[in-house]
Amino acid sequence: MSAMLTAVAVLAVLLVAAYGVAVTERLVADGLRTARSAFITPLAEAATLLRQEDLRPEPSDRFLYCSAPIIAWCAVGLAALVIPLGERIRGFDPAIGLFYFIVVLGPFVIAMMNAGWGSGDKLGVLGAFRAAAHLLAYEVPLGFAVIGPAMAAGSLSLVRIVEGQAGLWYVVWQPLGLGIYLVAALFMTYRRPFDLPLSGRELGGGVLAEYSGPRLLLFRVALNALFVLLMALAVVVFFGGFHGPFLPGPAWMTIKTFALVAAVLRVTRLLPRLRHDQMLSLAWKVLLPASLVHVMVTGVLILFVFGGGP
Amino acid sequence: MIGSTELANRAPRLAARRYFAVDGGAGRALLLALSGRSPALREVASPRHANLILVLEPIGRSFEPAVAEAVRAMPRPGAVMRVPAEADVYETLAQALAIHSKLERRTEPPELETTTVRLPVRTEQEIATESVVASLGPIQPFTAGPLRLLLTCDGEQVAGVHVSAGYAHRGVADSMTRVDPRDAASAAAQLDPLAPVAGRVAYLRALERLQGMQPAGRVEAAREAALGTERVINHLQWAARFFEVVGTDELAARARELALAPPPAKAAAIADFARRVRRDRFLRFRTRGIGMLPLEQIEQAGIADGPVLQASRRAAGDVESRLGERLDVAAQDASEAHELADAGALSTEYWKAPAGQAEAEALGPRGAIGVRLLSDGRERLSQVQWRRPSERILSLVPDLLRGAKLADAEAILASLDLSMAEADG
Repeated sequence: MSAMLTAVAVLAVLLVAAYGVAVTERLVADGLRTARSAFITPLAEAATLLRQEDLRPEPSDRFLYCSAPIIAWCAVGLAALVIPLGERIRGFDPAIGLFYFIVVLGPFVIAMMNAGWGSGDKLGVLGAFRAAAHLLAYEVPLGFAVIGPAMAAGSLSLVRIVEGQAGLWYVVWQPLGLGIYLVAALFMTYRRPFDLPLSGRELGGGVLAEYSGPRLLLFRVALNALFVLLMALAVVVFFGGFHGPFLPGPAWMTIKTFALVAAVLRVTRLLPRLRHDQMLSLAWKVLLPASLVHVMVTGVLILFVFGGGP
Repeated sequence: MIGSTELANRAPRLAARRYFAVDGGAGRALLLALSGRSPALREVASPRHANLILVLEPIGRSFEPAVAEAVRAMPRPGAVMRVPAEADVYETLAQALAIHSKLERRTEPPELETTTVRLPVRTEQEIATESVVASLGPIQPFTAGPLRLLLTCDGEQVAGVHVSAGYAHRGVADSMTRVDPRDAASAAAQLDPLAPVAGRVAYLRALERLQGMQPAGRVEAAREAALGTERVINHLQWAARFFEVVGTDELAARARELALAPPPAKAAAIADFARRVRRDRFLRFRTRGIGMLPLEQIEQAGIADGPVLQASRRAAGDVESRLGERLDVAAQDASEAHELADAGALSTEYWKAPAGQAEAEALGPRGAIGVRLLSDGRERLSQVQWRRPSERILSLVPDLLRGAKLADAEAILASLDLSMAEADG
């Protein structure tokens, strides 16, 4: 029963968080002058999509096409379980929480590939391969970026990492790690400037071109939920998580997460969409060497500045 | 007229509208004006994601099957709204948000034209790959109006290009021979709906030359001013659309603001904007070195003027240089053009068509639009021949895209600023 309640609670939080991302996106794009619309439009869109036909193209592969949004939601839902929202507010706290989070989100790429490939369209297959390129781009830099906080805390447990920042946030002495992490997170969430698989107009709209109605809504919400999850993880490993004065833990998690969401969305509006080969070049020629430097510098700082321990 | 803020605040009570735009060739200004106007109305890239198909007239007969296919692909409930390209943006917005989604029955699939594409001959390779023919268009956002490209792709590399144009053909030249010279001036303005002044001025000049008449100096000056203003607006509208295509929302929003700003405020602001674009490192990274057009190739295509030629003459001839060239031209034209004080500059006193032939041109946004008039002395012109810059630029597309990456195709095509209504005539 408590597992069921936990699952429902996690899904509810994810839905609200995904809605929050949609609102933040509108506020960042249009400014505060249309604040009322920013709060209502995502709900209106969701209602519109729920009412729409759920079309499935004739040449599509039924299993791949239908399973894609479910796989996406499973990945996001399972990963959300380990994000600590407060002192004792989390799904569960495994000793390898950070590792678990990254691994469990891996199948999201499978969902995107299934969406493109399963639509039965040549352009969808091209989009699927572009989506797959994102896995090659983000996996290693993302892993190395979060190794720094894990080394500093001496643990892969997200709660221990938060507790390790009680005196000083890791972002203060690991800014390079944060930068690498945020870029890798953009790869992972197919966000501007790395959103070619989703919005490649030369592919007629990308991997989700053939989705409509409730299935499209599932995907859109899953993508928003994935984005907010990754920003929440950034808050946990770099910005002290739920710690903060006066307000309860969940309030601080919410404030910090959405402040980071807004900042990232603001910056991405300035950047043009990059090709996937440019993205791969950035990942392997810039982010990977930078992440090795980040790990080395973090190790040196831990040994010689912070006394060699967490 | 409804103000934009009022409309935005009314939006929460209305349905969220996601529209898929079908542009017949004259709708760029309206689409630009709609873009970002209300959060309740947004453009989407696929008809499957839309609940409104916005059809911007005129739509040629050969284009109707593609429009019908888009309507068929839209999930129900949805709506179709046909608007003339010169419709008022606020009224269009209000109608789009208020339209009742009543399209329920799905029609039979339309008969679409089939095209046979010959795949390139395969040479021996270490890894055997299969070529894919990707159909781009005819409804796509990279050109103003419908154009279909069949791209033979080896993975992400474009190996061959088959261009299928003519969807926006309206027979403007023929229609001008069926009316008297005064009415033909209106038809001339429709050659390129995005640059009506250039078409009209070219025709008026040719007609005056046919009669051996020279307009007054102030009339010609006013015509040049009007052409300059038209070029400025076109380049800014194009820039906004280009930035939307490559994904830089901030630059697209700024270009839209400048396109709508009154003329006196424009010149310095456009120059600043051009400098800002040139300094944008990320944009340079995205656009430098792609879509290279050598000067010789452009000259061989018969292009003697226009931003595409100048970009290759003065700079590298890539997408970045074409972007910079258009903004520079816009800044220069804005500083030189003044408000059109004399509305008579777009008319003439000389409406007769004596026997003979005459040629004239007017510098439009994409290059000089030229016209040759032939008359046998009767009431109507016997033949009209247009020299259309977009048609010549279109001939460069196959060589331009061959060897390029598929992901660059959108930026390369968008950088050419093709007006398909003008190209198809």
